[in-house]
Amino acid sequence: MSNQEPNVPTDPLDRATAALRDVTAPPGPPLDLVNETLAALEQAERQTSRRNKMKLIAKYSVAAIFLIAIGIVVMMSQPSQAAFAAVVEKVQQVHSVKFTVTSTFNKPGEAKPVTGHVDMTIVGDRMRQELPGGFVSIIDSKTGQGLILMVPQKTAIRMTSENAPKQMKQQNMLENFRNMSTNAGKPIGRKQVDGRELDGYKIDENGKNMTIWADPKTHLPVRMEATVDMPMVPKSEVVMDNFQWDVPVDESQFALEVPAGYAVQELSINAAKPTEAELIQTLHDLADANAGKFPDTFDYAGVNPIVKNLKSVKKVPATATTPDAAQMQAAMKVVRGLTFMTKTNGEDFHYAGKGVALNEKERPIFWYKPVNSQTYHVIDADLSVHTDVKAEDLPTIESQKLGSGNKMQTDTATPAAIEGLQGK
Amino acid sequence: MIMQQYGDVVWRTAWRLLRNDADVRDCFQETFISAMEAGRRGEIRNWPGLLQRIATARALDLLRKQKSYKLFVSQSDHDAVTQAADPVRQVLDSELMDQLRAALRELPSQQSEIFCLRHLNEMSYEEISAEMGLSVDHVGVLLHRARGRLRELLVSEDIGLQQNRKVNHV
Repeated sequence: MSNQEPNVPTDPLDRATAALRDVTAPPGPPLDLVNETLAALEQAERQTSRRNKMKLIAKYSVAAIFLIAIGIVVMMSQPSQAAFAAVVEKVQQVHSVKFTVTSTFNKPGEAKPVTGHVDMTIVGDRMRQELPGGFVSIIDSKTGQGLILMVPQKTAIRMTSENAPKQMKQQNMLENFRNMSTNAGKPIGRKQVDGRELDGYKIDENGKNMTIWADPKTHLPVRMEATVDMPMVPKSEVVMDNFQWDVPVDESQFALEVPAGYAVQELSINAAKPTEAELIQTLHDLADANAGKFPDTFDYAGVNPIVKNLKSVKKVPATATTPDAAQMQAAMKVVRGLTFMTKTNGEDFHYAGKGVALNEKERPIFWYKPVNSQTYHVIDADLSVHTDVKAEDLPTIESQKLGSGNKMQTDTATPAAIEGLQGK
Repeated sequence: MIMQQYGDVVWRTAWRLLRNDADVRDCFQETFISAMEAGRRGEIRNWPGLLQRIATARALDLLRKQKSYKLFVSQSDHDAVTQAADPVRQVLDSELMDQLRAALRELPSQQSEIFCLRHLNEMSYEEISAEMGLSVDHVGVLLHRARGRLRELLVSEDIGLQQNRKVNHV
């Protein structure tokens, strides 16, 4: 017979838990701690208010960094295979188009979704995006050159892209339509939008999802809907509408010359496929900017709060009124690491760095199966890489499965990303 | 107002895990500052839930950062033992508590946080799920893993009774 007292758990864990749960804490909090905390809260409130004012411009800098990065990365996405012959043929004859991109996404910690707009004009290989806050970006996807104008600050950033494969330079929405096959778009019926009957086509292949609603008479798209699911932006629902096809455009709006009176900075973008070494550099830089610990998640939600602490970005002087190209260049490295997860690099990407300290030994934080490989690469917290790891030998720890190539095919920076990064 | 209402919950959450006056005070202050920042970012639906989650996460962070975690019996523990009706049981419980605190340091942060919220703060699965942004099922899975690992750690030599023989009275 047991002599255990009634109600005392016999299991050591249950007993330890019960003891800790029921332990008698000294009465508290002490009055002096309450007063100190109230004072700290008041001070934090004052500092935040002041910091918010001072950092507003810095936020624009970060937003601009990502604007460029996202624009370039998305611009270089592979073209969709989808098509529906009449629509595709019609769009292929178009020389210019204007439309609005509306993105809706959930910002971490906010109950209501956030919506943002970008006005886009495409003429041949050139694109012009107008964003809230006086940002204008002009990109020539054939030459890989671009210009960012920050109108209120009278500052221009001249971009050149290096290592861009020829076929990638030729991507924009019109170009994508030119490359569409004629059998991937699945008819989904007709619906009324703003009093107009429209034919719907669903593109759903290779992880790409888009719905195109076209006018049955003109065969031109009236509305496109897609989900953007990319590592560096919050998952967004995107709608493109207000299309104006073959409208006259002012050529001067696509000039890559810097307007008179603007300060100029130079930015060189590496547009080649991101490498494993760049992924590792990004993991290092993020941990370095996060008190030595890797981010909780390897995506927008996990990385965005840390970006502002990157050493290169952090050096924004409080008095700065414009983004600094050197800082943008440095921050672009992080973006390249975040875009490593593509089908051209491999598959089955996993991240397990939450709470892990940089340089911790024997602690896997990332693994994936490189393209054309039967085995995996496993990256440890000390950033060493184990190659030729068999699937059965992979870590069994909790991990975040990362997508690869699940991207919308368009050539715009999403307003969601930009507004999110602006902290709006 | 929030501090008046929930200060004791935060204090108790921190003290239970840390047992070190300086760390408990840090945890208390940082919890309310973090909560204020969260409140600025959006509406808070469950203040006690948020405060307990932040306090638990912060306390576990501080627990892990203690470079040489010493199993010790504090003066309040000592008083409790000497005044207890069953001093032997009190000593055993005190040892078990220290073992559990040490074992919690070894768990992945999400698992240790969920374990504490469920079993020490007695939050429901649904409350934990809402606070941590996880599904209820996922909370259940992580809690199961946490309990399994803690059981292993409690009987291991690293954290087990052998180490408790080095108890320091402070």
